Amino acid sequence: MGDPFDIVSGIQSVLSPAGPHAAWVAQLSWVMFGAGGLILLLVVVMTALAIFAPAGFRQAVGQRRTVVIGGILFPLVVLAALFLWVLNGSSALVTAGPPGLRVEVVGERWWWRVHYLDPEDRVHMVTANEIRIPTGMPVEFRLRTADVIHSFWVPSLAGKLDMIPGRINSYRFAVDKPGVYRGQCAEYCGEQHAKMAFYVVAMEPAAFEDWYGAQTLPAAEPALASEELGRDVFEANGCGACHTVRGTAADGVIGPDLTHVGSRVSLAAGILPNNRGTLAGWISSAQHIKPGNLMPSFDTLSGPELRALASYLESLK
Amino acid sequence: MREQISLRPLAFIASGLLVWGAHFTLVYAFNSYVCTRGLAADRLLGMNLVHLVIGVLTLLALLVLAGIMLAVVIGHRPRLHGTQGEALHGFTQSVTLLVLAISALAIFTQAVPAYIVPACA
Amino acid sequence: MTDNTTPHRIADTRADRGSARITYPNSLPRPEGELEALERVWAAPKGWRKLSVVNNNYIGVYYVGASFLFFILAGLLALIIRVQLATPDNQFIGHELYNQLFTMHGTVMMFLFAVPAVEAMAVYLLPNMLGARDLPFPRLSAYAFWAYFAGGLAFFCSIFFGLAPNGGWFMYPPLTSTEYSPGINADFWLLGIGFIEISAIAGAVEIIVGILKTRAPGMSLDKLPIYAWAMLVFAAMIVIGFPAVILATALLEVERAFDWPFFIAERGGDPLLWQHLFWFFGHPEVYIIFLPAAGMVSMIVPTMAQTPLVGYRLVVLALLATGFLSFGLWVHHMYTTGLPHLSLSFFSAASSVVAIPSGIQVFAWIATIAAGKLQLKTPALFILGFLFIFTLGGLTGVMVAMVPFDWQAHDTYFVVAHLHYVLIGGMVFPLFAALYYWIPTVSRQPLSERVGKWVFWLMFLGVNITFFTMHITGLVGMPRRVYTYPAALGWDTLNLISTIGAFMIAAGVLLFTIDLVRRFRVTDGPNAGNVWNAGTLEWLPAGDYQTRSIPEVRSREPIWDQPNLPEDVKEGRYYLPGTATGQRETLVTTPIDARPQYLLQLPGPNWGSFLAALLTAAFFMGLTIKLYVPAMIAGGLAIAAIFWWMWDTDHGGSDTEVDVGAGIKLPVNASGSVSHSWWGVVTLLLVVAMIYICLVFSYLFLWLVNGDAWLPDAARLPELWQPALSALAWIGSSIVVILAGRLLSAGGWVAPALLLLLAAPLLPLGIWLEVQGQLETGLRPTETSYGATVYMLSALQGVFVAAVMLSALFVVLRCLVGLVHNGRRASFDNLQLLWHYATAQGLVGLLVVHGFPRLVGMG
Repeated sequence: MGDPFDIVSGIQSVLSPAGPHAAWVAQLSWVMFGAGGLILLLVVVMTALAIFAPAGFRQAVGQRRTVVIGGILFPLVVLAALFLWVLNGSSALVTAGPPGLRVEVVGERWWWRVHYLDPEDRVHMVTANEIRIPTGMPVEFRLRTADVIHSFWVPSLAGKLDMIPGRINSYRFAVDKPGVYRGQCAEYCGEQHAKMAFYVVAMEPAAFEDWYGAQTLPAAEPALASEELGRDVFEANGCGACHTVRGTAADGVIGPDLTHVGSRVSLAAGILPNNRGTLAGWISSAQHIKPGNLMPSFDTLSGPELRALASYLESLK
Repeated sequence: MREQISLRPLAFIASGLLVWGAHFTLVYAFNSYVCTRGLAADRLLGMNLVHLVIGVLTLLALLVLAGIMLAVVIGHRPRLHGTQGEALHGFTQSVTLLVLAISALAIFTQAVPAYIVPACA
Repeated sequence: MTDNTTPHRIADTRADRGSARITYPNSLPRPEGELEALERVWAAPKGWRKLSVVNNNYIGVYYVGASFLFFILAGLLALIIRVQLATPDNQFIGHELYNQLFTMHGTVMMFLFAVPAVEAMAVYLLPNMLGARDLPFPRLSAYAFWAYFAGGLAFFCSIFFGLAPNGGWFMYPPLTSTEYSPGINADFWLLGIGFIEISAIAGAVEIIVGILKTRAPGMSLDKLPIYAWAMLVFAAMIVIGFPAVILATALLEVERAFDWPFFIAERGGDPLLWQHLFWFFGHPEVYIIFLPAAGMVSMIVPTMAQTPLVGYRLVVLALLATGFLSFGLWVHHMYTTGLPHLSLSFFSAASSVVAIPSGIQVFAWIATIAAGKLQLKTPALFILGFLFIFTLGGLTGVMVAMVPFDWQAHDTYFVVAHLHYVLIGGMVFPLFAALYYWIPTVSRQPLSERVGKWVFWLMFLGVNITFFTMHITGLVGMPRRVYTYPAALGWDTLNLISTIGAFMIAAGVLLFTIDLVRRFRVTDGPNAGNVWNAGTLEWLPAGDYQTRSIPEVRSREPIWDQPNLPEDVKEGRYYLPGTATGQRETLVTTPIDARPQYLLQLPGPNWGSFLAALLTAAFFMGLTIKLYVPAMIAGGLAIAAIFWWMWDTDHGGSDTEVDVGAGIKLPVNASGSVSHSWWGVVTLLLVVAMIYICLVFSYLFLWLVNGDAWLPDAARLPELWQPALSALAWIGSSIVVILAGRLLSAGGWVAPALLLLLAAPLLPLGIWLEVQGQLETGLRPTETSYGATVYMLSALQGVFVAAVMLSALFVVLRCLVGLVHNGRRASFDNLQLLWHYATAQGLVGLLVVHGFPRLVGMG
């Protein structure tokens, strides 16, 4: 953010929209802020006049007529206009066109399981805490939860929608331009609600196809000796009991799928950048960084083991 | 000692908003039912089911309000005495009419979205 | 201060004015010793015995004080929150404490400060303003206050043991279900809320009966102070709204304790059921807090401008419309739950319409200020601050009422900003205005004007700095209820500004508290007097007995329009200038036109209320920390204490009539539908009925969510003769009770007592038959939400029947000692009401459980 006076933009801001859904709401917001500001000004000026204006003017204001005009007719007109405009605009939002892609997102305490669905609603590809989508086409999100209520929200792209036990909520929105947008859980879900974020990466359709193709492949074989050692550490410490790395024996489903963890922009549900250092830090002190989450702190690993494990995971592009 | 305590003026004052409450409940319950049971595409008498039912309920509610208004305007005057009684009667009557007006507005507003927004999207 | 000759215009009060010659009800001089007798009867107990005091002047002040204490405590919690959020990735406190802090801040502010504070003001103000000597049920007020105070303190202390609830003040399951909240923290919330439910309902009964029945003669509906209108709507809203949260908490506690799956999706429950019930209470709750404050503003503005309120009728309309329409807004809090868009739009429509009544009030106040000449004293400053803050909060309220905007703003700091604007603007500022304004009626001296201006500016600037910033914080993406946030999202500076503002508010409140300690001295002697030259009855010279005589009211601002009223009242020229029966008394008048009806003998100090309250608190706390045996003992003793306080409150109607002045002879006490106690019971039954209706709604809601398969097919329902037997038992018991009533009228008391004993077992018998019938079909409450709901209907009936049987025991005991007979039958009549209601409620339950599945199955 270059401009120090720019306080409204950002990668998680309602006021820097990157898709038609968010853009419409941002426009609505600015209209309402403007109108609201004017009405507030009107009330302030009226009050000031009621106190300080000359007696004749005050006498004219101090009538029931003022109440009828200011308190009934004026709000009636303003509200009717706003209400009808919003009804029309929002019905267009909820009846967006057919989706080009369908993604199921499952809220878990405190991360996001992401399933790319095939046309028959079967899970075709699994990832976590990062959703890549192509630009220029509506994407449908099917939202459900594995435990408590969460809420799926990417402010730059669209409003939020809750994930509620026993229900599947879905909505569609599109992204106009490629970019990285941050989302965060918006319904209080317990201890680490504050640290349950994710990224949406919007890509040109061709780039998206390439990425998607790569993600469906099994994990890359270790190329370096240190990465090979890292894989041994991974297996020896039972990481596979909770995590899946497709193409290896690791097939746990409790935690995020790590097949291509090295290709993601963030770690631990959007709270750390993703590099060898943060990977090592997270593995050794997950309970310190995000107390109460299901991942234990592997603080018994030796320095070399930790470094090897981190470089193995980083290699899983 | 066993004299009848009439709360009728208070009941009249609140009546418009009670009608609004009934209309609101019915309209909301009906739409929820239609959506959970997947009846949004149904038609009745050649009309969109939701449009028809909400329209009828709204007209009924407005008719009830009109009835109450008539009852208030031409209905019997309570036995109240002197200028104090006059003032009280004038007060209850005008507040009742004001409540009826805002209730009519609320009921009408309640029905408007049904003709703009898709029922179950 | 102002001189009494300030001219004021009379807007639209069509009252007879001073021109006609006044005829007083009583002539002077009053008999010797009359005043002394009045003072003796109303004298408050001294020393430590003061704990047994029940008079509203004392209970009201304690009540306001206690709620102010909770305001400070919850405010301190907020300061810790603000320190934690002042910088990104702050390590000041961990998530465990933070999550408890924000839960407690919300819960304490809403349940232990806001609702009790407005109720407390009513306990103190209403009798003064209406010309009554006390509220109609003084011991109930005392009980409600002490239960709230003791229970609230115990609840608050849970934070010191790390046991405070941490599921948010809205307590959404399944986060608060046993699976995700196995500790007793959540139970503290559920049972802690029990206290405020009790005191709110007690207050509502008190306020409704007080306003409708105990007004000064002549104060017909068109002359009712706006504050009384506001409190009438407020109390009605409590009666309609609180039952939803009472039921919701009961369901969640039963789910947690006995594993009945009301909210567990795997077994057919639905977390959204909680949200519907909670917000059906929770949204009106905002208006429950705001309306009394608006009522106070409508009293203060005319005085500060020295002119009657402009648009009295429109303001009454606004209060009524707000009260009703606010029940059409609850899904407002559920826009992001995925409900059909049209369903959301209904609520958006109601939310838009409800803005109009607020507009009416705002412009009525502005017009009133213009019509008079506003004196910029501290109360007026707080009113002006309120106008600004509340208008801004109302405008953002319209914004979040627009569905697509709310999808973005919901659960972000934008909403935190909005709700604080509405609640601080709509309630805290009017409350401070009210404290500055009315303290001269209880204190020997008013608060300091000079300090008051500092308090105002610190609070006003602090609120805007703290919360205006939060609008932006929310829009740039910061969600609510996060204990920390990363740097580099652009939230750092905004949060720091909010923290600085919060400490400014705190400084203002601290300054106020210091001034309060220095200048506030409660007095039962002469108070500071009518320092603002106000026009309503609470400004008449008063003692513990309120005014010496009860004035005849001919205008909305009697002190302004009825010359010499304060002196005439003080000399005893008006009604009831002493005590007519040698006891505490007040006049009961008709609800619409306020004609004197009978003389109500009020009960005096009693330890029953105080003890019952402490024991009730002990009962709830015992249940929470799972000390069941002590809890049960406390519960039993609490009932005994309630019996004690109730024992001498039924004086019975008396044949003798007393003279209250102007040659008006009134009977002493009353029975049947004229009696204030009958009205109290009817109000209470409305609450009970609403709880039951909410449960029937839950049944229908779960059916709608689950589909017809939720209902058992006809073969798995109990056969129809089983509910028929239950129905027979209940109807039979009601018939026996009617018979008992007849015999009582005929002059007996042994036979009625025996008949009550005979009828009582039939009530639980009916429930037992119903439960047995369900058990025989193999239905279990823990298996599905259907089973849970069906048994819950019986359980609720069981709780009510238990209460009826206790009341029956009370009446039988009174029969045995000869305290119930045809001339003294209010307790019997009230029992009869409860009884028939129990029968009716049971029959409705049978109709739902056995009728609805068959009806749907046929279709």
